[in-house]
Amino acid sequence: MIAVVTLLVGLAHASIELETPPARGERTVVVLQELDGRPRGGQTVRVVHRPGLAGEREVAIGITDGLGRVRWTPEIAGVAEVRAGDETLRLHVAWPGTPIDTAVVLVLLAVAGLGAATWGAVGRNPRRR
Amino acid sequence: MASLRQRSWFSGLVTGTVGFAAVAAVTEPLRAGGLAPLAALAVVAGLIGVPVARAEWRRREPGRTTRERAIAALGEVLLVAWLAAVWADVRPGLAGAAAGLGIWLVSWGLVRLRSDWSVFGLAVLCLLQACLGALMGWVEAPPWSLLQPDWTRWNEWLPWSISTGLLLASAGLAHWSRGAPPPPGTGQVPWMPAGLALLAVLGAACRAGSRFEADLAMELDPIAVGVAALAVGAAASAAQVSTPNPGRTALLGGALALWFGGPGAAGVDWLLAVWLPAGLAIGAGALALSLRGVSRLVAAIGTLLALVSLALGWPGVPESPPQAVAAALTGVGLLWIAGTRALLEAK
Repeated sequence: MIAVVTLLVGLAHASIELETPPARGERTVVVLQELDGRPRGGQTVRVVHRPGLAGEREVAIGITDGLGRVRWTPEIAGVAEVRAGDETLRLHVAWPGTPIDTAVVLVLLAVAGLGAATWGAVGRNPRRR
Repeated sequence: MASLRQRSWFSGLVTGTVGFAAVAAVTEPLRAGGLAPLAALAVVAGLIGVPVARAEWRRREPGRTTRERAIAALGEVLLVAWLAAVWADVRPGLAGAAAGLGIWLVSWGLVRLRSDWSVFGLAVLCLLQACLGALMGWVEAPPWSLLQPDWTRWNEWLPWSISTGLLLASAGLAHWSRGAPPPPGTGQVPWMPAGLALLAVLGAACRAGSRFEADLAMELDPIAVGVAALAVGAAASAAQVSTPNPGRTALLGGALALWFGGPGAAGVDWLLAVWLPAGLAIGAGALALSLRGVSRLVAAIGTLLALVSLALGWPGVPESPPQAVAAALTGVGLLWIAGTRALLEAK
């Protein structure tokens, strides 16, 4: 199944497609085609993980073959941007599960906020009773 | 039946509402470090901000000397300036300035009508907005990418975490020296504003993270701008409820909104990075001088942290003469207003 995700950029002359939705650790194929459907070979394809965020990382995926295809196994989950020449495709690399470190910090902060608010509202200082 | 103002939690709610305004400035820290700056903020608020605020709470009384009155006036002026600067950061330019002026006028009208209930209602609305926005965003896309903590670039977000962490509890702002005295037996109340504000900021962070996950958008969407306006409006009302002259505070807030949206736009960065931590350091330092024992130590650490925030966040020399003039006039103007107010109150 082709063309799960497609982005045509303004006056761009090609489109970037992925055979399957990207997921961390699972191989997919990036397909680069001209707008008339002809494959674009010999094009370097790169991916930027976490664009615009801390930990932004750019990785070269490879060069497209004669069919305009290049294999890609995402190593980082989350938001990413595939770039081939002037064309870009924003996509989301699926997380294999809930990211534990982020979830733990989030839950701890929520519990701290809720606990502090509740303690402030109902707590009493015995020394001042 | 006791009025809202006589409830033990009302002062906590008022101050917490002021902290809600931090939701408007959460995008940049999230981009720099995910949840890491929020975790640092919570630690600063819990270990230093709240203890300092409790010390201020315990000794809350009208300023007797000119110096005490000046410190209290500086805290109030800084708070109003911070609200105006936060809004100017969300909506820069003259249109934003006009909206900022409108927010202060509306909040003044609300305070004139039903002061306590307006703050209570706005605070509840703001919390609901933050929680619902986070939940709705979560359904659309879990916000993991933007929230992923990054501890390595701490120098980029730590100044914000320190200043905002102290602000969430109103530590060193002399904010607690205003308004009605707290009922006896309410020593834990200062935990409330920090907790409420942290929840509001977390909700805004989740909302921003979901939006980023869905379409890579880092700029504020109309809903986020609406939430920011609501938070700043609630904070503006709260700032007026807790001061003896609401009209004067609203006038100052409106004037500063126009200043930061117009000729003083370059002063926003300097206010957030320099004048605010400097003012917090002055407030906490003055408090440390008047205390003894552990409270003095905590207030001194708060002073030191504010100075660390100032040093780390130092924006450098302004690039052009107009920027230098705007930055300098902002600081000098705030000091002049605080000093004049203290002297007038002394008469």
